[in-house]
Amino acid sequence: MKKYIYIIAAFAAFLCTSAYADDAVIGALAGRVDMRLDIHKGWEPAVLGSAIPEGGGIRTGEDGAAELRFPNKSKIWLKPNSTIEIEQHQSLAAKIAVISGYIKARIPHLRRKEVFELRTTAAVAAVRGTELLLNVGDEGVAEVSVLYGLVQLVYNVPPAVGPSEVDLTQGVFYRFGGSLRIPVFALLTPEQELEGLRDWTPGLSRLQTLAMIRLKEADRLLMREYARTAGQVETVVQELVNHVRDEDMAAGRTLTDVSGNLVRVDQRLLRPDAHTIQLINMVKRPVYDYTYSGKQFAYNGGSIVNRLDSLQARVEFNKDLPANITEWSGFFQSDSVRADRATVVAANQTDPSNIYAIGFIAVNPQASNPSASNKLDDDNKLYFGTVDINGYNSLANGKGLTLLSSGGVFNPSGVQIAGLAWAQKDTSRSLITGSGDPALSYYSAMPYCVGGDCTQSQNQIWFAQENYVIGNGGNVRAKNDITNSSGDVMSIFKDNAGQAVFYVKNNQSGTGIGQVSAVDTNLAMGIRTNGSIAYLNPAHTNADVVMIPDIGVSMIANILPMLEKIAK
Amino acid sequence: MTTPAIFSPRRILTGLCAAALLALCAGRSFAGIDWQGQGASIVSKILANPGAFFFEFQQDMEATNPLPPGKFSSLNIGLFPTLLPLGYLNGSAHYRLHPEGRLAPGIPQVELMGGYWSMAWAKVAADQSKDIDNASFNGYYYGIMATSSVSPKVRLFWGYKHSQLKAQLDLNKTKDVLGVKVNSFSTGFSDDFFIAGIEHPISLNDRWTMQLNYGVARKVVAAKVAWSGKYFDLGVNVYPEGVLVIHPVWNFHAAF
Repeated sequence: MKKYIYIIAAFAAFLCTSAYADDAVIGALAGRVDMRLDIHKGWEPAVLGSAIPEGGGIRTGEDGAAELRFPNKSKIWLKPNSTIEIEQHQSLAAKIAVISGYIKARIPHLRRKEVFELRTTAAVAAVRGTELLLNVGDEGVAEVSVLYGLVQLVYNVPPAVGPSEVDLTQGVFYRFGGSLRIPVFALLTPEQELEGLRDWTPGLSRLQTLAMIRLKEADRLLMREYARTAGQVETVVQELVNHVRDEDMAAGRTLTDVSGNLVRVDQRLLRPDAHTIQLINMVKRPVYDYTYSGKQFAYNGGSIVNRLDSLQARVEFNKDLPANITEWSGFFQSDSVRADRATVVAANQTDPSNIYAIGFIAVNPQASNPSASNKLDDDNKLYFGTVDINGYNSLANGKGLTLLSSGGVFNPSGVQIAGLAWAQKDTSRSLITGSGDPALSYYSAMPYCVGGDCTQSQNQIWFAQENYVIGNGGNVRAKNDITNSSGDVMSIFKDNAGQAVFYVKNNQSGTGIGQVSAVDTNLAMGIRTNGSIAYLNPAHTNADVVMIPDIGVSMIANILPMLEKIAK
Repeated sequence: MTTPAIFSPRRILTGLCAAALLALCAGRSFAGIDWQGQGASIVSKILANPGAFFFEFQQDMEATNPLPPGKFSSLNIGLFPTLLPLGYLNGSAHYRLHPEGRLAPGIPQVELMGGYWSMAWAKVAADQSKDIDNASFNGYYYGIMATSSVSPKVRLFWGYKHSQLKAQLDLNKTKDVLGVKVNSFSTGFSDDFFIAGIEHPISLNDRWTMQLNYGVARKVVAAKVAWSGKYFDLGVNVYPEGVLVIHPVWNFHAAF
């Protein structure tokens, strides 16, 4: 039986000893510092490295300073004329009584359920992950300056005014206790902050302390430098943003068209003169063939290398445009600004001497007659043909053209533009249309008559076009791809493009689309103009334009009022 | 302890003086500004990318300031320009996972944040419209933030958030787009942001925060400068590439 008692006693003794933590030790001291190992013993001169057990204490004289280190890496620094006692120090609990004086405590890390408390006569401060200053005056008035972390202060006796528990967060100063009826709660002053951040290691000379402060000051300067650099970076970013805005009027993309041809699209918004803007959409393909299985109109041009197509739109205003594009919105708000002329030309420019071009010219009648309506009007006329570069430029410019009843077109110099003809919309025949719903594809054929003479069957033509909304891989998009997307509008624009294929074809026998697509005889069509014959489409070709919406979006974003003006 | 009043006479006087000074400074240049042009430009940009426009307001309601030291959660409501005038019914919350230095020195305060909004006017507009059956316009965000002190009164914070805006429009009449019948639109706007900022208390309950948000997908920056009182934030959000570059912001928050 005795054996069991010894074992139990030994185990109990082990448990008791294990509950005690290692003692705090004096890590540094300077000047007069006293210590005592028990509250019932007298003070004796402290020795560096001495352990202060539970119940012990340490005090500093007028010129003394000390640093007490705890096993859990907590530290307490004492300034002159300070006294503390270790009331409790076990593995999960430490209670330090600050009798008087000025101390700094750093309690960096506590285990779960571990408690570290600093007690004054007025309150107990529970700290955790905290750095603070505690100054206890002779009359019991205490000041807490929290440098980092949180201090939970609980009054020993609830104060007459205010709560009995106060949470003090970092950066806060709190004065309480003694004869102070109302506690003082404030933010740390820069001086208090500097005092707390100063190195409290005993024995440091004033010069060393100053050096440490300078080091911290250098850190602050570094912070200021960082802030200044951040500001500069922001400025650079802003400049880049401005640069990108300037570049909004140029765009390009490489993609695949509906037939699987590799396509490079380049767009530019230009100002050929002060009162004109011009959008050019260039489409380059290393190899071209129109083999898309869903096409509606015949293409008999075969495979072409180095194919170049274009779409250009030019709008001429009655006033000079502002030099800065950011001012355009305001400029176009003015009622006195008027779009006088607009041209749109789609062309196959693979052979510069035989450009297959299809275009429209709209003129504002108010430009020549102030009492006329202010509206661009194309007079239902279509221009088309196979022309050289000069003929193409005359058409794109859209000025001073003279139309012959035979269908021919004279340039402003009175010289016939070889290969170019004009046609008037034919109201006796119907528009032919169809769509690929839900696929975003659409085709139409509009009837025209060369020279406005519909009585001659050879003059009856169709302006036909196929339109597709395609992805960058050439796949025709379906309705849901666009209307049921979680992506934003810009992302949709970046992922999609439009393709438009233009033809001018002879009127064929048959009904409906058969009148246009049954036999592709546009090669045979010749227009007799002023005694000569203009062969309109010798290569059985089309104008096949892929358009990206990038500049269109920029135009909406920057110059919507101008678009409204043109739309009128 | 005394809490400074939000609309104390001193603050109101300071605000009026600042406004008067601004007006005096800007008075001469106002005359040269083409207000009509500026308005047209704004409308143009909204039409070009409406999602981006409303997304910026979503960022105004997103509470991306860190929890104050000692607080473990907060509730936030965007008041202006989100709730008023745009009708964003919104709420955000922060929840602290780790207080600074608790586990080990140097480990920052870590918190989760998230919020949701829905535009009340979208429903009202749908009810009033003859062409729209249903309209919903909403968004959400979530993220994580870390905060660490560089001095007792200066904290740096950094984090990540994902923001998503959603818009759904059901028409009661089909619209013809390239010959295709369309009766509903669903679109959205999203981005992932990295956040970095600095916080500095100026009194017991008041603090300044400045932060930079970088949107990874759109490669844009947004800056937020805010004064935070006990219950309200007053600030300015700057979107250099936005339609409205400067957004004055007023939000409510309560930290626990």
